Amino acid sequence: MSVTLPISGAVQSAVAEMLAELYAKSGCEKFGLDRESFAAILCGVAAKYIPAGARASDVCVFLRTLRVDELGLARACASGDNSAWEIFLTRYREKLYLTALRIAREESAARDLADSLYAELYGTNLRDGARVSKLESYTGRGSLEGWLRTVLAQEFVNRYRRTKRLVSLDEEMEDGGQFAAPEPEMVPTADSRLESSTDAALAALSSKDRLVLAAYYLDARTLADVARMLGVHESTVSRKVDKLAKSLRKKIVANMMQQGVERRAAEEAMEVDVRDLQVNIRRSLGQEIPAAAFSEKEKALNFQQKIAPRTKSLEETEI
Amino acid sequence: MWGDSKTEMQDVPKIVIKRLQGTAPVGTHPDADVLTAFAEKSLAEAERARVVEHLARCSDCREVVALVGLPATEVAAVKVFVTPTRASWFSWPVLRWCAAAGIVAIVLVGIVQYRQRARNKILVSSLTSGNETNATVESVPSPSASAAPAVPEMKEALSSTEKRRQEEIRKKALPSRTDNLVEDRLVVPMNPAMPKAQAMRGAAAGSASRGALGFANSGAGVVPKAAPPSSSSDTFTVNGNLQNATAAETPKLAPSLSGGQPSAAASAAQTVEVESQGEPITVTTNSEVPDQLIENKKQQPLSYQSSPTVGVVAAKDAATAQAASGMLRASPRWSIGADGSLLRSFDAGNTWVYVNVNSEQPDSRSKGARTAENTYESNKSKAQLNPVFRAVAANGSEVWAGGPAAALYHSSDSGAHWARVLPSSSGATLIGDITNIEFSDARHGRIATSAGEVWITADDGQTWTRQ
Repeated sequence: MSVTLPISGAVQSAVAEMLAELYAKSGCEKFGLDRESFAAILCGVAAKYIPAGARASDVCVFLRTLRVDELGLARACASGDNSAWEIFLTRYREKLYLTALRIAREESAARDLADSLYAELYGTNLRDGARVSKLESYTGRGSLEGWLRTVLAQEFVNRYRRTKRLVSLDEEMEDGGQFAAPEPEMVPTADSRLESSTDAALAALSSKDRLVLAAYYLDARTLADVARMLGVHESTVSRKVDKLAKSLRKKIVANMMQQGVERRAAEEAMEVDVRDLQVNIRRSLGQEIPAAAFSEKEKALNFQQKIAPRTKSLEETEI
Repeated sequence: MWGDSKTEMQDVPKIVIKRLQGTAPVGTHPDADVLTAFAEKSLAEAERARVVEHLARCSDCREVVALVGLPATEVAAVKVFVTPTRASWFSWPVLRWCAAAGIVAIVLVGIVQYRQRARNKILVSSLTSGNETNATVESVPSPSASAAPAVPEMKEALSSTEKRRQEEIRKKALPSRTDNLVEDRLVVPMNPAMPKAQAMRGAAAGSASRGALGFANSGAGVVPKAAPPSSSSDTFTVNGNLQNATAAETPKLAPSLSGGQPSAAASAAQTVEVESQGEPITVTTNSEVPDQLIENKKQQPLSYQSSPTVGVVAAKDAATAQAASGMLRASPRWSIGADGSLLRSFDAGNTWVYVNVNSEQPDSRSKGARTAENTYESNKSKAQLNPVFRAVAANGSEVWAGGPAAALYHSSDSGAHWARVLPSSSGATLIGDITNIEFSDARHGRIATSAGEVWITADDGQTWTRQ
């Protein structure tokens, strides 16, 4: 596939310049990979990631970051070199199964996952009559081991997403109807101004902040997990989440006030859970229950009173 | 609310989560290489920002990155789980049993050392005390000139013991749990020529048995069968508390030494065999003269034996010693069976015959005593006929046997006829379980009870004094 990409002159010159050094570093010679094919691999990789207008020096910097030894090994495997496969298997076979087990958390699923990846790595897919190994797509940007992990994780996520949508018939019957309950998510909210204000507040955040919010609140990851994803310390993430949550409230309220909503009304609207609202309506159709809004209102009031004097000090800052 | 937000993480409004959920991923997912490089922090700034932007919107890729970044410690844990236990030698069951075996070995070593030390101690004390041992026996206070009639009527005894029995059962309820069976046996030949070393060993083992109390519970199941053949047995009940045990222990040395005197000319060897079994004590007299060296040799291993087997070994030793000497005596040997029954042997312990002390008494008392004593419930009809015994002492034809609930029986014709004896002194009577009986000669005897009392007679049980 890399062959199809147009290779710019800058890339070609950079590759030509670095070829001797990188070729020696990669140790591809023993896998029967000659200079020309190695150069083609490098060109393909560079063409894939380097934007069109880049200079040759940039390409050189990029090429230096590549893990050429592992790249060479992977491509040699992909081309079917036996010694390369031997090395690959002794190095990664065990790790692959362990990683699969770690990801799937269950023995048989892990076996399944790892085996299917093996099949792909070896190349069961045929293109133009030749088998195509998944290792062909490895470009040496990260470690080969990390890449294998990522591929496994992607495969796992794909399967998980797929199977999650399959609900057994029994479960459906238990849910109270042979039709799956409609997804409750996209019911329009009472106040469209709240939505737009929230979206605006979120859009104002940096992508990193949104990533933290999504990982922590949406995916329910632990602080440690989020910290590991971003490569920062856990306490940093903790502070950040705290700060983000506070500043988001302020911003949403401020945005709503800009749209002509009173502060108190904005606070209330923000605190009311949309999904709770739906449930309450549904219930109150069946039976009379006292509105639970009071406690929410009071909470919001308290919150406002307490937070009001401190709003000045809580300026949003980047970590 | 403010306080809450401090303790747990600040909550965001639900609408925020909803809107976060609503954001659809834009563009194509970054490929595996880029995600790997992101996870490994090897991306350039601009590219990293692009990935972060995508991750903020794409939960799938977030999950992939989170899975890739799983900590290595989990791998280690999984590794243990995956690779089956190749080294079975270090598997848990083996380690567990090794640990158990180690503990047992340590306990055994401790006991052996304790015995040796105790023996040394007694050696010193007996060397220094010498002949004074006689004096200690005599010096036992006998203040009660107005001693109650020595042999009360049987009916009286029964009615009074009935009441006492109730008390004792109550008292026993607690200690009976700790009614540990420690089998320990020792032989004290009473040759006046060389009494000290032997007596020492006896006393040493006696004190050692105290130390061993409470650990040989496991021996209880094994011992009962082996115990009857052993010529005699003795028990320090924990019930009888430690004071009692010490009280019982020291006199053992004294009376036996003094008892040796009358037969000194004949150089008789008196064997005191103690088998602490939560039960009885026995003193057997051998009129023979076993070779001291042989006796020594035979008894030597005893002090090193672990408890359950000692009784059997000792019995065998004694039997072979007598067989070797080829001298059988007219006076029988006495022992207490594992079930508390009284046993008699006329052939130096080769065969044992059960002796019924009160065939004339239907004896509800013994039943009560038996239920109170929960150790050997298994045995049989004779338990109904006979009370349970814990100690027996014989001196020629004079036999004394005692057990729980102040059951004290006396026979002056080697067990042909028995009479119940209730020691009393100045209005007080013996209560509690009899844990130890020692008669240094036909007239002088001493009874230890679980109540911590020691009753002494100097006239073959006619009168008693309480110590």
